[in-house]
Amino acid sequence: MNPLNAEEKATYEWQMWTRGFGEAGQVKLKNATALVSRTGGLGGPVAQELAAAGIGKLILAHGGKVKHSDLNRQILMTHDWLGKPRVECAARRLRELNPRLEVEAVPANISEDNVTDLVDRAHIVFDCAPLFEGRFAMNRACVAQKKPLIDCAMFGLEGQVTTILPGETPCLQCIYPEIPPGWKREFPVFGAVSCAAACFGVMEGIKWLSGMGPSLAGRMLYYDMRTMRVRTVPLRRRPDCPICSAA
Amino acid sequence: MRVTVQYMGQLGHLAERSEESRELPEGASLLSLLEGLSAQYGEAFGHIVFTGENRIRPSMMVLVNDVPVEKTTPPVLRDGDQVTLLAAIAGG
Amino acid sequence: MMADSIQIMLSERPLSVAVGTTLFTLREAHKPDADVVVLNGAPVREDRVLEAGDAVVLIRRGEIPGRDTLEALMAARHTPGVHAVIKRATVGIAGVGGLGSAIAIALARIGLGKLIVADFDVVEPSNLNRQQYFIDQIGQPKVEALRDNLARINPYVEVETHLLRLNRENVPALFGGVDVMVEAFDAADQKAMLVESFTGRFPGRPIVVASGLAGHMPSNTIVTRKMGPSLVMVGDLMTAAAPGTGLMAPRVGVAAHHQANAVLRLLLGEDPEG
Repeated sequence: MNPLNAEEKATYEWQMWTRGFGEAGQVKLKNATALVSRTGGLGGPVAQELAAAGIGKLILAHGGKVKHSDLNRQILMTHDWLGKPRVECAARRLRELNPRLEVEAVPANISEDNVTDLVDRAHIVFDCAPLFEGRFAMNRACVAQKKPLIDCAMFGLEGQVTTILPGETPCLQCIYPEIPPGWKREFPVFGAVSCAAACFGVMEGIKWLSGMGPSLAGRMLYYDMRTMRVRTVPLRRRPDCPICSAA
Repeated sequence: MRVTVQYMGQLGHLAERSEESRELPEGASLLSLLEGLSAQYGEAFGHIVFTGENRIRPSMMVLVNDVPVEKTTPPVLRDGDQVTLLAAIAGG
Repeated sequence: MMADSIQIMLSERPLSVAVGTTLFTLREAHKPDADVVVLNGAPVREDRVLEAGDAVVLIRRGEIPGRDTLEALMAARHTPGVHAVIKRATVGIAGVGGLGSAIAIALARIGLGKLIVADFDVVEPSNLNRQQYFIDQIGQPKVEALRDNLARINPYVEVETHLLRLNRENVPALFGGVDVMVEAFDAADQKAMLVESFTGRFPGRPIVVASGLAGHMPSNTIVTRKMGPSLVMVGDLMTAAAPGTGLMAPRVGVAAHHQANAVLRLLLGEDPEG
């Protein structure tokens, strides 16, 4: 593993004071690669917090161009970049924040076509996709390659996060055996709500990468920012899950 | 008897509330409650809660007093129970 | 029964006829002036040899038959076997507005044995754009107006009326004897009250409800779906009537007849969704 240089030691000094993390944890982060599916309301702050915390490499996958309706929440997108590719805008902003960060910007959303290769090149995957089809594709690839999947989702003023460790925890299709009915591409969203899910997810990922251990393996954290109620619920593996029962 | 029902995901959107207290006949089952809610809040709500095969939808989580229930053997409810319906979400 | 005879139904009554008897010889023997011959639910023009189990009805156009044969003649166009089943059945209808009045009429026309209907309201002018009442019934309690109208359509249906507001206490008492329950309210919270108090007391007994029937969206958006173990739901997967969207006879009628047909299928032991 590559050790920290002087600039990195200075930059991450305060977070290395965290009990159980330390310089050893920081070195593990520096040598890690994370795949973030989409860099919108959820994936944007995931990428931003991972970049700020000093992850070595990010692979960002997001298609499309910046629109006005992105700017209430997609914190890596900027007004001057309207009409230009989203993933380039995200990469540019992340490099401004952390010039040591290696960023690979893939101008496409995760699909069955690219998921195997993208997951193969990462140590950990952050699922921030807005449709179940993309989420299921990532889940299948992560289970097949035994890569941890931090699954973050939100709707309105609510969000949820779980950590999927293939072979140990339920997978996404244990939780959702089918694509749930009635889910639409357009959903109500505040940036602060998606950002909260992102921050919960990032800390799960940092804890897994640094050896502190995740807290939401086999459990789903739910929060409702309308009522400010937070709860975690145990999840069960489905013995007949077509995705992970053979894993 | 009275039970509290909490809604998460699109169910709260369709019911236009996060939580409510409901009067139920003594000995009513979870199924009876879910059928009543579906009748009240409409087909889109019912479609999230139930499959076409008369079962509670596997992708919806149901908690009674914060404990997940086995959806294939839904329990009888008691006075004061808190029922939480967690509909699947995927917003990113 | 003699070996050289077969058993048929003539005007819903059993009859033995000789093997080889044809439709037209049957007409000659029983009703020579009949100008419509209905065989197994469908009118036929060609003579044919009768087979065991055939159901034949002989009709003379314009003739108002006596009470003893009227019921059989009214059932002439039913799918064979349907009338015998529904004649023994009881259906409850909660609310007899746009949905309930149309459902009651559809079920009365096919000769349901007994209807139990409940509603607290009276007929108002604004009801008449969709509800099955008449101008001279304005001000009359709906259950009474409906009973009168049903008697003019099919006097053989027993109609039990309740002029009252339904609640958790009286629902199980009034509707305990029904084979299928129908929800035809307009207030959403009343729908839940009915479903919970009916299924809570009679688990598994079917209840057919409706939602999403406002306005004039395409008819084909309305479907019948099984929801819970008791719950059959008719609607368009949209939420209930919003301000700016009215309730009008055509689409309310589509939903009502979805409900009535779901009731019929349930009574016949068939899957309401298909």
